[in-house]
Amino acid sequence: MKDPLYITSHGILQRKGNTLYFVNEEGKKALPINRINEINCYGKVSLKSGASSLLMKEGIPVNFFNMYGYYEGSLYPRVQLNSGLVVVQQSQHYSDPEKRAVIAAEIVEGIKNNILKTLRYYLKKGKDVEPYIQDIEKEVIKGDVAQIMSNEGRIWHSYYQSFNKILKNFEMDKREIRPPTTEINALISFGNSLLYVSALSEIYHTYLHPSVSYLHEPAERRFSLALDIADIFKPVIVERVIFKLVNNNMLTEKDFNHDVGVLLNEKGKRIFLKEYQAKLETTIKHPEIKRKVSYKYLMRLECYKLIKHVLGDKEYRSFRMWW
Amino acid sequence: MRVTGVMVQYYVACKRELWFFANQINMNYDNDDISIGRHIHEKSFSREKKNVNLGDVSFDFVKTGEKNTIFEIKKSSKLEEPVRYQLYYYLWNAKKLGKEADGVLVYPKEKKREKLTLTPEKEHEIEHIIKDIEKIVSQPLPPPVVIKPYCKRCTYYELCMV
Ligand code: SF4
Repeated sequence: MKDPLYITSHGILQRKGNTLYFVNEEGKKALPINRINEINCYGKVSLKSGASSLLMKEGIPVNFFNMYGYYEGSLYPRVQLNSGLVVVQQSQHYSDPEKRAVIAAEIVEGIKNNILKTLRYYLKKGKDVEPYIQDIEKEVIKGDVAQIMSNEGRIWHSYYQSFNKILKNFEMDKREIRPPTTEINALISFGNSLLYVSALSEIYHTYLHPSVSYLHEPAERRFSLALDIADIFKPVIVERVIFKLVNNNMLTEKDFNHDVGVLLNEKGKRIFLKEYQAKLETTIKHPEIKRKVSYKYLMRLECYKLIKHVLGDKEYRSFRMWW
Repeated sequence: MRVTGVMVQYYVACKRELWFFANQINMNYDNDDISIGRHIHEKSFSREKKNVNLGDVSFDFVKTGEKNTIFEIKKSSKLEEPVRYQLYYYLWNAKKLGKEADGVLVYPKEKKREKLTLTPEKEHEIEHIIKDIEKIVSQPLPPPVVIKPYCKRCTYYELCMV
């Protein structure tokens, strides 16, 4: 089993022979390249050319994040899976507005369902989230892509408002980014960018093109299909991690820096990453596959379903938490 | 379109798998079965001639005695029927090229061998299979999922089930 590697401090990646090292003030550390499937850099990390060629040869992408934890870009190995047929069909489903709306609506249905599942869980635990549930239940997802996007916007808005009822600590004012001004916003931003990269790496293992998306506009700087896929899983992965970390006091005031906006400090990031990784690796028995799959792998399956949809093999039905 | 032995094998095992494979949608991205197969191959027959090319297809091994023999070396006998047809297809090819041969399936791990002879019926069947393969592969959609015990070991399993 291969895992992502997260680097939270500053340093240099270099190669000696077939070994990859991370070097910083504290010293030189060999990295187990056979057990890594991606490297995520949250500190300032530079790569010597030997290191980058080794990583590309091994098919290991390197993702870079800025000090706020936002995704900046990736060093990507040459695409290994390529199917003209899938990419052509994938694009056709984007360029035909009706076909695009079908997929976009399905994605938002998934988001809605997973958010409701999460809120109902907290309702059962005695949190006063009933009004938010009602607001979200009211959303009827239909129309063109613009309408579907406003459905989506309202759903997220109600959901984020409900955080104040769920969280024992910290206040959720309004969702703000660049830079986040509250702890919760910092946590959401950090978690979302982690999930974005995880979704991207699952897409990378399929034939879908990461830039052709349905709910999000294909953006110039980001692989927007990863945004589409990640959105469905945010309530299942990111927010559940946040609620746990905050309500169990695993993250407190002192794990943040409060200078330009509010950001997790290095220790805070490590705590978050550990919990996030554990969440991704959590497994669940899949009713159709009849095997245990990890939460992370559920994103791969989402890609498979999209492939089948664009090929005309089976209509896409987005992931809805069944447990 | 060029029909290959693997395609004949998939045709017998699963027509949907054949479609995916022939339309270049492969799943064995992180599957090490292929290298294992190669490894067994090299260990078991290291001193004999391997991979002879005849026209469009390459065979695992050909020995020329009174009659040519085409050997097909396999990791396990789990897929017997599809593999048999793959070999029949090779025999049919060889015959077309004027090199009539018998076939032997070898399972080194299980110390098992099986001899195959191309009969007129089999020839006929192979010809029909080739035509059918061409038809299936050129269709715009993959054939529907038909669940069978073989699915569990298939690289498309997860793609098919979701
Ligand atoms: S999983 Fe089953 S139906 Fe799908 S391609 Fe494989 S054998 Fe065929």
